[in-house]
Amino acid sequence: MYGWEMLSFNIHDGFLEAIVRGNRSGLLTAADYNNLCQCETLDDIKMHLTATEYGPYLQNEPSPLHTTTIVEKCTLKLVDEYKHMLCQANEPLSTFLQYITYGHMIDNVVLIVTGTLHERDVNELLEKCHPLGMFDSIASLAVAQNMRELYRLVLVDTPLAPYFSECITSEDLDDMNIEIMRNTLYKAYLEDFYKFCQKLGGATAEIMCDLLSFEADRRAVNITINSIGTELTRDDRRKLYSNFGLLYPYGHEELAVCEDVDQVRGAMEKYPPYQSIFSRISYGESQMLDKAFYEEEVRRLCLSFEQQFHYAVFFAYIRLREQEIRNLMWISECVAQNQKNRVHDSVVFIF
Amino acid sequence: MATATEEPRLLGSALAAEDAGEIDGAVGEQGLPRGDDDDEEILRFMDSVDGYLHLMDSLSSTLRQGWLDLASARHSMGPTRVSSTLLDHKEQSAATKLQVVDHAGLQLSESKPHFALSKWSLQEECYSTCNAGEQASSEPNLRHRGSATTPEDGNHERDATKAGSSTGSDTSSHVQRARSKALSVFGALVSPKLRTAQISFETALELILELANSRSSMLASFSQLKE
Repeated sequence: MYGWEMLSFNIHDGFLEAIVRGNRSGLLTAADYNNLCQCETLDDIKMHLTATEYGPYLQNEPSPLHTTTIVEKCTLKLVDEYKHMLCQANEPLSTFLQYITYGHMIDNVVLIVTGTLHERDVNELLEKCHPLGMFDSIASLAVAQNMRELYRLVLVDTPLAPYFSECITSEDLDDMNIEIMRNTLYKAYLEDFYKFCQKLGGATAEIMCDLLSFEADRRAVNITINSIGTELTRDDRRKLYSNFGLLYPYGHEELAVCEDVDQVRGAMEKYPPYQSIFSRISYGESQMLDKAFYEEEVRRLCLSFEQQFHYAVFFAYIRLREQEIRNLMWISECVAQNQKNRVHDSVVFIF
Repeated sequence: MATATEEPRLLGSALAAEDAGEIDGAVGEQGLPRGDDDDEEILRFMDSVDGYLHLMDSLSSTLRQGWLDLASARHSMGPTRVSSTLLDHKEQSAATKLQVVDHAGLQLSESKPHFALSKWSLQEECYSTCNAGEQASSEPNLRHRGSATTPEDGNHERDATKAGSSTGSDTSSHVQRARSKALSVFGALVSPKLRTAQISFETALELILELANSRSSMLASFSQLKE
């Protein structure tokens, strides 16, 4: 019952909520980002990050550094924190934490399948997989020739198995089919996660449903913009949108027929939460749309920490760390390319 | 790019002055003494150097923009979706070719472009070498560049037939399709930032070609100056 979580939440999940709130205080501040933005080289960035919680992961890295090394090591810290929480979580929190990683699992599956299609070495592909999305039989994905084999040989024993019912065909895997498979799997995953959170009820359901609805709406916009000018038909585009969210169902009908960014704007501005996002972007421009959506996402994630006794703080913490890693990647790229004047194009401050 | 078009006009006027001077014997077209031909050569050389430096600047800024757009695409789509690990290792025919004009027999004073680019298999002479699975041309003057397009027999034949009888809109749609196909190694639905990066690098390739031609004419002018 909503409002009564404080009676029983701390019995099983109080310790981990305290852990995640402690970890949240370790996120980089605006002062840290200002220092990082003034760095001249990647070694300077490494020196600044050594003084933060990323220190133990970066201090032994030899020079010259590469931006991918910084991203990998920062991701390792996130993975260690996640595993620390997962191994101490009881049900249903442990299932909730596992749900957070299924998106990465889908990305890893698509990476292996695409790389195999391009005749790349499996070991090379495995090194590039996101560590949060790894599972035991992932290397066996390389032998599958179509989605039916993919499911039958490997994915039937993974948490992604229930999501394959909508995209099992015997068609050979090509670039378009793989893209449709990726988005169909992600759609099924989001809908499943949404239902799971609704079943949990209480503050978790209220906050998580809002966050997942925003995620679904953002994916719909990205799919629309990325499919403009491609061979994806309107019907296929419509099928990739999730069946929940603020834009469902009428916004999706409008997005499905959009042919340019201005039409997308016209469809989205009818919804007040997204009107404020699009008001920050000039007509015909889509470059700053990503940053606007990330800023809105960070705002909602930070707000979830204002309430206690719910699981959304775990989801919010993981997502905020991922945003922080994206910020570090962008700052590193700008410093490496000697384009520090463009640093603030994509950095989103947290808290 | 105005510099590249201004250069032929300057060269044309310089050549015209030379021809008039040869006919008159003592003076040039504008009544200048014959010794001023050296000044015109120097002027031509300096113009070509200026054009070369402008092109270098343009190339530098275009490449910087392209690399930033690529980083921006990686930031938007994620590092696993935009990485060199996804590049295609299968054999494929080149979509863009470089032609080298053989200068045997031509005088060094003629500053025609030495290099020409054939992008996205648009020119007819490329279709004979664009069969599926074939990568190298039998003509010794053609150099083949690697491409991101996947060889598919039917698609190449269809593209060849269409471009052979194409109007302007058909050509642009063919180019669009070829561009999308090149980007499909990163997925069928890519961010607009990746497409922008592709355009930047395509522009950079054209600039490199202009740079090569400009350098060629610059060196030809310098050789004449030394004589």
